[in-house]
Amino acid sequence: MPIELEPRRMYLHRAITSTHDSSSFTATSTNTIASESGQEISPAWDASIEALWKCRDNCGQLNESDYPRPSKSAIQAAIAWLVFLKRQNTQLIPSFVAPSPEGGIIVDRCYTSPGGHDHVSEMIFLNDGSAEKTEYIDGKIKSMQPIPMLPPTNMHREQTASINC
Amino acid sequence: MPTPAVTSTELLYRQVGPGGNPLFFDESRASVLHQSLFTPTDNDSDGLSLIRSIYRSEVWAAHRIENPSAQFRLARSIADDLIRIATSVGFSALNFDISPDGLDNLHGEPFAHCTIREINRTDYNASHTQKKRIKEWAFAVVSRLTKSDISAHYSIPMTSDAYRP
Repeated sequence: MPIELEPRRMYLHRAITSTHDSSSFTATSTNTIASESGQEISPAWDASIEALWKCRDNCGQLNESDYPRPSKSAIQAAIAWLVFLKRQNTQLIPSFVAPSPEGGIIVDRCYTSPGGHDHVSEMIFLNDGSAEKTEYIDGKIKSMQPIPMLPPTNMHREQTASINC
Repeated sequence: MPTPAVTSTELLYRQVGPGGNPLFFDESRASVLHQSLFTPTDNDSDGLSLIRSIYRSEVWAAHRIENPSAQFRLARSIADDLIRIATSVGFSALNFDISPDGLDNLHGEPFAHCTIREINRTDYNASHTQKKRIKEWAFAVVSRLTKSDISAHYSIPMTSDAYRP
C-alpha cells in the first residue's frame, strides 16, 4: 500500500552542520525586497548567487571534502542559470545549493502552491559539462531531462522560457 | 560467526560526508538532508552503502579507514521504512546485501556494511524509468528524516572505543 509522505520539515542544515558550514549563506523565504519594476524578489536569489561566487573563488576550502571538487565551469553554469532565472522572477525560489556527490553543483528551488502542493526543481551541473533538471511535485517526478549547461541568451529567452519555470 | 541477513526492524546508518554541506540553504523550505545523499554515485555500482547499527558502534560507523580525517554524520533509518518507501515508488522489494568494507575486513564477521541492491548506479544509468524510481525513493527517504534522525560531531575513534555496541 502506498505510504503517505509527511510534510516537508523545517530545514535544519545549520544546526546539523554547524562545525562544517560556517561559510554557508542563509536566507528566510519570508523576507523579500522590491525590484526596480516593483515586483518582490526574494533575497534567496542574491544570497545563493553570492554563495556560488564565494565557492568559485575559494575552491581550496573544499580540499578536505569527500566529494570531487566542483569545477569552475560547473559553478559558473549554476551562477549563470540563477542570474537568468532571477530575471524571470519565477515562483520557484532557491532553497539549496551544494556540491554534488557526483562532482558538480546542485541547485534546488522550491515553491508551495496555493493548493498546498510542494514543487521542487532540482538542477545539477556536473564537472563533465552536462546538466540535468528534475521537477518534483509532492515528491513525484513530473519531468527529468538534460538542460543546456548555460542558460539561453537574451534573444532566445522568451522562446525557451518554458523549460525554466 | 557468519553474518546474519538484515531484518526489517534493524536500525541502519547512512554516512553523510562533509562534502554535502550546503553553500546556501533556506531553513524554512527544504529537508534535513538533500536527496542526492541517498542517490547512488559511480562508487555504488553494487548498491547504496549502509552500516548496520547492531554490528558497529556509532563512533566507528561514522569513520572510514579510507578517509580517516573526514567527519561523517550518520542518518538513521529503519530497514522496513526504506522498504515501504521503495514499494511506494514502484520497487517490488529491497534486498540488503552483506558486503564487507575496510573496517569489516579488520574486525571480521559479523560484517556491518551492507548495500541496497536495487539502489545502484548501474540501474540508475541504464534507463530513464529506473533512474526516476531511484530518485523518487531518495527524495522520499530524506523527506521523512528529522533532525533527531541525524547525529554528528563524532571524533576519530580510538582503539579504546568499543567497535561493537
